[in-house]
Amino acid sequence: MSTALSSGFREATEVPTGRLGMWWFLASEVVIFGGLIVTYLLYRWVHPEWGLHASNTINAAGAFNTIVLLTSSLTVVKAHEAVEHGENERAARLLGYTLIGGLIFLCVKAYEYYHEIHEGFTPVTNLFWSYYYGMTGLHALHVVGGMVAIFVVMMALRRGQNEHRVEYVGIYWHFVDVVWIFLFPLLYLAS
Amino acid sequence: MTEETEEFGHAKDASQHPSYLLIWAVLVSGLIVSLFIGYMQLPVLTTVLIFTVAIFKAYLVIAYYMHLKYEPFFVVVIMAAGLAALYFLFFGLVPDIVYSPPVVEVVATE
Repeated sequence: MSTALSSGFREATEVPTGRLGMWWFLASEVVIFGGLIVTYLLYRWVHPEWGLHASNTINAAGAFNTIVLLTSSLTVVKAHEAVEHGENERAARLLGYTLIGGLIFLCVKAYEYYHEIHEGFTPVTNLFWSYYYGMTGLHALHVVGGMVAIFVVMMALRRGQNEHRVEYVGIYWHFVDVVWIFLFPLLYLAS
Repeated sequence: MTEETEEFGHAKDASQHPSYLLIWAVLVSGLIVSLFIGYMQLPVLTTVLIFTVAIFKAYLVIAYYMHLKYEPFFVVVIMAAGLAALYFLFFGLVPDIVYSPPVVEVVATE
């Protein structure tokens, strides 16, 4: 039985429908990214020379991007905390910082792509680089999508609407961070 | 438990989470450890250790930032179902990829 609550969200279980829907969506994302990672690991197992290919990625850029995403995860969870305390303006500001983090991540990623293509490492160079561009490119698209969602939620928050959605976009953004937590060591460090 | 917290449908324990800033510091420390391990360059051990650190960092984000630790168990089952699919994918592909004859990799020229 669903219930319309004063905050504007419904729940048919003990979990708000929007949040439950986000968890369902992320479970499918686990299979998408996980499938890429699993097949990459299997190929890496039988292609030890991929370690040499991975040494051509820019570790410093990857490490910097990891810190950027970790920090943006911090700001988005602090935004959720601020909303829970009724501090909508502070929450909107923190969502803005999260967006800045996403933008920085994309700029660094663009620089990496430019540098690697300039060095002759393109998506068709070999299977390692196909995986590299495929996985990081798909991740970057998810970053863009997350930024759009965070922007929409931030603008609604400024009008005092749908505060509960801050948590939902936050959960999505943390998942994007988790994916990068695995991509960075696999594509950059294990070389 | 405040009315606002109940309004957002959180489990009662969610308000007693560790400091988010402390978790961030642990995550960044994990990154530094990973970088150090990466420079060790011991073929199999490096990959295993790096992946272990990554799993620990992912656990911290999932449990405390995503609040999965405070969700009902069926939500954990939903996420675990995705991981179970990966488990079968991995072991289903091992015979084909690991034990099949070597394939000559075609490298793009020009």
